[in-house]
Amino acid sequence: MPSGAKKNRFNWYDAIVYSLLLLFTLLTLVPFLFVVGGSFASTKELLEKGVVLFPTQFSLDGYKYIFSTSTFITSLLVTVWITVSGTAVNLVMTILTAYPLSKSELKGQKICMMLIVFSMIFSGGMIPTYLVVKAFGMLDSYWSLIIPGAISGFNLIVIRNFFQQLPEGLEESAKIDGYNDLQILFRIVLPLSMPVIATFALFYAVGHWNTYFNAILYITDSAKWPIQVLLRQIVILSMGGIGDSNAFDVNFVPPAQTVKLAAIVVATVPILLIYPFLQRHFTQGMMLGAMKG
Amino acid sequence: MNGLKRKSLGIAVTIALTVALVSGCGNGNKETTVPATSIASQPASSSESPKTAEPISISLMIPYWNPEAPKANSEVLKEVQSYTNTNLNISWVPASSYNDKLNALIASQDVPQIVYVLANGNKNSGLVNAVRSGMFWEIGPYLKEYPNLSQTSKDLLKQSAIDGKTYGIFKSFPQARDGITIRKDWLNSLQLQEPKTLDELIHVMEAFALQDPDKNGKKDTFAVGSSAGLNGFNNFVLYNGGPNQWGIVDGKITPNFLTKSYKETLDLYKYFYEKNIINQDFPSVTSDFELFNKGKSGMIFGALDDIQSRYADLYKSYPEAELDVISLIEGPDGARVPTRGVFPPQFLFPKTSIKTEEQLKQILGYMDKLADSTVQNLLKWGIEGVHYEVENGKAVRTDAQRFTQEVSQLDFLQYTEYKAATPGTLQPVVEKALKMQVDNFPNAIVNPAQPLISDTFVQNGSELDKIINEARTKYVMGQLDEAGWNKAVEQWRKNGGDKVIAEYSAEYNKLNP
Repeated sequence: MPSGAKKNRFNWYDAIVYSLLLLFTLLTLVPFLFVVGGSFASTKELLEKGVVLFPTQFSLDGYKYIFSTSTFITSLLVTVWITVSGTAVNLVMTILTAYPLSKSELKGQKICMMLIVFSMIFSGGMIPTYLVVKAFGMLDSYWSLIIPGAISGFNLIVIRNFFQQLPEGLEESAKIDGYNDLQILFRIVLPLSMPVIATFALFYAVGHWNTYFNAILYITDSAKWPIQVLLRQIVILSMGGIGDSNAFDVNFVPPAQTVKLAAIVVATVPILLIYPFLQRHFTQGMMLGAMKG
Repeated sequence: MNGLKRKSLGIAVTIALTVALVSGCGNGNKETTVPATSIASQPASSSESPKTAEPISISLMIPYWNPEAPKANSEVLKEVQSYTNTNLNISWVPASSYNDKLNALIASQDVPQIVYVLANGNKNSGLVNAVRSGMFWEIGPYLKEYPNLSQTSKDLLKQSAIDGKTYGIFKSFPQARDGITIRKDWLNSLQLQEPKTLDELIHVMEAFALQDPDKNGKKDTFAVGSSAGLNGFNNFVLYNGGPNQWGIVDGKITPNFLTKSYKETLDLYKYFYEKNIINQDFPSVTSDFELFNKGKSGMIFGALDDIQSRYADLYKSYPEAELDVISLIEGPDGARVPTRGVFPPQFLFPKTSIKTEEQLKQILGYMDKLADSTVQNLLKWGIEGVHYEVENGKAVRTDAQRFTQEVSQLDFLQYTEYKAATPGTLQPVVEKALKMQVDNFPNAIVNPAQPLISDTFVQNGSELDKIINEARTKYVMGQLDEAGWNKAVEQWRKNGGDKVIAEYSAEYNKLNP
């Protein structure tokens, strides 16, 4: 960095901050551009160059391959369904649990909070969870992807802290007007909590969108698998597979690199499109929900 | 007032909990006798030719390598089921996460009746412990009752046994699978002969890297485009007279890196690296095929049968490329080729879901029928008139894409080598490669540790391998001298390597008195 220290109007501090920001933006953006660019490149060009930001020969082969079967579309729909319904369940459960726990006069509130924190630190592990899911008869149904993680301890605590900060007076006056607790929650508290709810809706939604391993574990019917299962299989195979070629079959043909990139684009763009709509709540929500004592 | 408040708070919590329970059970499948099978993949009952006996329902768990799982309603599967008189409930699992799912199912005692185990399954600790705890049927004694299963090679059964007992029906892969795939057109452009001895091979490799075989005026080619696994290393250990991964030295099962041949190979690769005969970035490359398919390297040490399909990208970019296969390279101890040296994939039969001997016999009966020529043809070619036609007694594939989608993955149901299937028309070089694999098998060098289990290796095998692999990489790149290499070997011995040697040797002597 050259340092010809000039005074007034030119602020070194700002310059450094902005160039760092620009650098980090590029760091995150370029790989993504490579994925998008590469997905429109021909196999040959990708092979020769390795990294293609702007393809010289525009080709849709990767996308053609993906959409040549209905599987991609169905699993995309599955993911959308899991994300929408899962996030709804998440929010309902988390809010209904967080609101009562934000009231210190609730009996057993302390114990409940301790149990929740305990569950954040210690988890049963994969096998016990599997057995629980099995015992509830949720194997091979979408519920297995929605119910077991319906409440995230961390999110619950942040939301509860937010509720605790709401002025007592609001609820008191609503009570005097004859509202019961549920009415207070839905008509007073929730409208005030929109930023927080939007933030956690996004957290939960991204989590569901990326659901992969649980689907493999709990669901045997391949028609019910979310998009990430397909995506991972394509990505791993086009990298030349797992471990040694001994595991491969004799007729194995790995999918082309462009297919991998196109699959990534199709699977990530929808969830990216949700960001702008929640962006304005997002910064606000994180700040408000932050722990304050 | 406070009481009221408390009540409705309580109600809110209760509602939340009830929603959870109700929704969980709302979709509860009835517990069937066979858990973890998919309801949707119930095949339509075939109302064709009335069968004397009811079809047997069998649940299976099978991996697949394609991007998508095979369809449950596939015509080929229907044919297989009607021939074998079964209802197959197959849960297809992506190969990329197969072992995780298998371990979870084993731990929760929730396995289907036929379980496919990936190659090297006897090194998968979850499975080994399950086998030892008696979770699977020992099927060895039953095989003789079946016309096809009884033909299984005794040697290979021994190679695929666990603790000396046969628990599984192994999937036949060509055992002497490996060799060298080489760019014939590069040899021609440099006017070189096909290498037959170790010295000739090294000479060709030098030429491929230094003499511009693709005539583009740039020094941008390698002999071998290697990944972190150092492609070809094991072959060179063998050409130098060393063992296939593990050998027997003074009555002890010893890893190849304690032999002189390994040391020679290390120095040879160091030389390759210095001279740019292998790519400089090998530690960060993930696939041995990458540079080869880019037309930048001239050889691959690996499965000879890859020539059927894995070099499609190369032909796309370089239609003039011409490939050939080589396997016998004369070293100081003669021409030596390795067997695969790893445990083959197997089909196992859990006692948790196959309750009676009766049931086991029925299921083995299904396995036996898979080897009949009708099923072999179905699983290898598909349906005649749809996926292939027969011309002059040879099968010709008619629609490659349809075959890939509908038939190719069904091969994982099959364990035989398709000897009874209609022969296909293959390119001469593919014929040559497949014949090589068969011809080399009788004299191929086996890995004596293949059927053996060392608990220490099952527990820390990957860490132990990592010590050696890292040291090997560093040595080849010149970042480690002889003393450093010896230190790494010492570390390997101390961290459990000596124990592994002792355990393997004890096992070996127990099974081969």
